Amino acid sequence: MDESNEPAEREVFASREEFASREEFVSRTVEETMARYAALLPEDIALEIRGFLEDVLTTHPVGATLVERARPRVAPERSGEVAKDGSEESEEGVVRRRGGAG
Amino acid sequence: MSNDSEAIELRISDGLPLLDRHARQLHRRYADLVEREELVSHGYIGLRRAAERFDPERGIPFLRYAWYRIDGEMMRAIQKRIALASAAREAGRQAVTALDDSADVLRDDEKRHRRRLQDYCHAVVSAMVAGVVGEATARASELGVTSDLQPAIDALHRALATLDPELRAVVERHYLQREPLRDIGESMGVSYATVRRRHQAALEALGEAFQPPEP
Repeated sequence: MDESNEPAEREVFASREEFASREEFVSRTVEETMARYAALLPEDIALEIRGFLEDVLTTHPVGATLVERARPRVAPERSGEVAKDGSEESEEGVVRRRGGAG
Repeated sequence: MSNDSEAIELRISDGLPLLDRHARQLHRRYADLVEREELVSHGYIGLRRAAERFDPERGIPFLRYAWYRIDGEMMRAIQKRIALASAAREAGRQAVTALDDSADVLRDDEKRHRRRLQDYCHAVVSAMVAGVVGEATARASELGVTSDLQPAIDALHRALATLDPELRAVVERHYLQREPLRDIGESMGVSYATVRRRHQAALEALGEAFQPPEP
C-alpha cells in the first residue's frame, strides 16, 4: 500500500465512526417520534413515514442540521495534542508530558 | 352447474389454490407495500365475486375467469398502498418545505435543540398523516374502504379541533381538500407569504396536538 494514502484513509475512518453515532441518534429520534403514531396507522404506511423521516433527518439540509445540533456529544477521554496526520499525539506533546525540554 | 350456493362454494374451493399461488407471486414483487395475507383477503373477494357471477354457458373455464377477478382485486390493494405511500411522501415534502427556517436559531442549549428537533419531527409526521387521510378520503370510491385508517382519521380530527380556526382551515384545505396554498391565500384575502407562515404555524401546532388515542 502506498504510504501517502495513510492520512486520507484515517480521515475516512474517523468520519465513519462519527456517522455511526449520528445514525444511531437519528434512529432513536425516529423511533421516539413514531411511537405516538404506531397505533394509528397500518404498518406499511407507518413504515413509509418512518423511512421518509429518516431520509429527511439524514440528508435534508434543515433536518440534518437540527440533528447535528441536538445530537449528544461524547466527551473526549483526555485532552492533548493530536498530530495533523491523525496519529494519537505529536512527539512534541509526548516530550512535554514527560516533563522534557522542547 | 347452476349458481346455487353449493355450486358457488365448489367454485371457490376450486379457485383457492390459484388464489394462494397468485398472492405468493405478487407478494414476491410487492412485499414492501403489502402483506401476503392482505393480498389473499382482497383476492378472495375477487374469487367469490367470480364464483357468483360465473356463467358456464359462455364456454370460458372457471379458473381463467376467476384469475382475471382475483388479479384485479389484488392489484387494487397494491395500488391503494402505492397511492397512500405517495400521498404520505408528498405531504412530507410539503411539510419540510414549510418548516424550512426551523434550523435558523443557531445558539441554544442542548435541551432546546432537542425539543426543536422533536417538534420538527412531529410537525412532519402529522402532516404526512393528514396527507394519507386526505388521499384516502378523496379517492375512497376508487381505493376502497379505509377502515384501517379510522384511528388516524379520528386522531387527526381530534388534533384539528384544538387548532386556531385560521390554522385549522389551512390544514383542512391544503391536506384534506388538496387545495394549493396560493388558492387558499387568495380566498382568505391574504398574501402568499402570509398563508405560508400560517401553514408553518399550523403544522407546528398540529404536531403538538397530535396524540394517540386513550388506552
